[in-house]
Amino acid sequence: MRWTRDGIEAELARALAPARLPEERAATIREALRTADLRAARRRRRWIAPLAAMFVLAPALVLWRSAHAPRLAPAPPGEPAAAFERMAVALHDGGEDGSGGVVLRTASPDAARAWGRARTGVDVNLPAARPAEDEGRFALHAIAAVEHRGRPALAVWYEVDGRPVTLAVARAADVPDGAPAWTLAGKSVRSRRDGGHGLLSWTNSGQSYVLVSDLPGDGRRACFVCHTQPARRRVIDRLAP
Amino acid sequence: MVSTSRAAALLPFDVAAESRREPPSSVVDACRRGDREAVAALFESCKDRVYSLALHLTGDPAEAADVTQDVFLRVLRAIDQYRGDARFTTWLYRVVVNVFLDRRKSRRRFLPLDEGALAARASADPTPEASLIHAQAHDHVARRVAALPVALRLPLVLRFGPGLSYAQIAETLGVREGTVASRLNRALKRLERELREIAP
Repeated sequence: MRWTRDGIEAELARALAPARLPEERAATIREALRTADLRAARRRRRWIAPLAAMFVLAPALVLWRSAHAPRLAPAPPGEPAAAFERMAVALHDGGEDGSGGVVLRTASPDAARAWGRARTGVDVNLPAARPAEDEGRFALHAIAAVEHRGRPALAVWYEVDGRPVTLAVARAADVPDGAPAWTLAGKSVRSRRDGGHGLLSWTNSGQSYVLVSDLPGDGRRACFVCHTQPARRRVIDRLAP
Repeated sequence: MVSTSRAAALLPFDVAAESRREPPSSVVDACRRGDREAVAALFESCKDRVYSLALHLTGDPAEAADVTQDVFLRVLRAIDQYRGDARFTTWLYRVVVNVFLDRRKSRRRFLPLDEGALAARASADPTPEASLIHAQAHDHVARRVAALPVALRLPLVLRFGPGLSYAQIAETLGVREGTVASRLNRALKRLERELREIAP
């Protein structure tokens, strides 16, 4: 009879009656509360949400940026080449001997990069390792420290599939008429023909680039001089206006 | 519906009233501003109800005291997150439940009421608290509650301990009222069955 629902409820009320915190523990907790550092916990908490957002947004941003391929922007007909583009064409036509700059003849991308950075402060990321498909097709010949409008620049000479390819690089600040800089909102590679050669120009990460080649079409395969990853090469192959 | 008026009627009036009294909103606001005197006042106002709930959830006085300390430290650091849209004690009980569950998860064990251990502790400690525990050691209901699965134990203890309403229990546990009613019913049926098997 005792264990009816009413009986159980009555026993529950008795069994779960309020209890008092033992005084010795209460004293310990009072001291802990007195000395706890409020501000540190709240300072940490203020950063949790922004940090969490960064962890979520950063990969999304990376994916978005990598997926957002540059657009090919053909120069309008009749538009004259920019000064830096004309210099790149001259370097292509004259070769390293006609550059007028200080030349390092080397087949080592690492040596060329280190030398060029030390001489000019301009960086050019020449890949030391190439995929098997590039075997016998890509060859570095020389690098030169040159000047554009009195400011340091680099010229790099390659041969791709037996055809000359020349890369000119300078600080974007020293190339006022360079191609529009890449931003989150958009990336474009300007393409034109000048002096019978194909030109590709872009500005990214504070540097302006001009790639001059005699490769077929707009010469986009000259980009493979620096870009060796299959995914990146697929993006280059799909470049479109 | 399980009535709490019966529970209140069985308790000394001052204790029952104390367990339902909300701390003044001025004290809570002062705590949010970092006023340590207000924090001390809040502790004095709420320590026994927090300890009671912790004790009935854990079944162990030492563990309950540890839970109580963790609760107040967490309240101290997180009180600015209390938005005032619910009763403060409901928010406080939610903190107690969360601390209980966090500690349980990290330890991966529950200390059930052990009659032998409690009796030994009771005989060594002459405090009134020990007498209460000693009595509970022989209390079939308390032992059965302590042995319930956590999902059933939580609403039962919240209902018959601090006497929360179904809505308050739902808010504390983050479930629907229907779920509270269902779990309470299951808990009581299970207790009924088990107690009849032990002592018909």
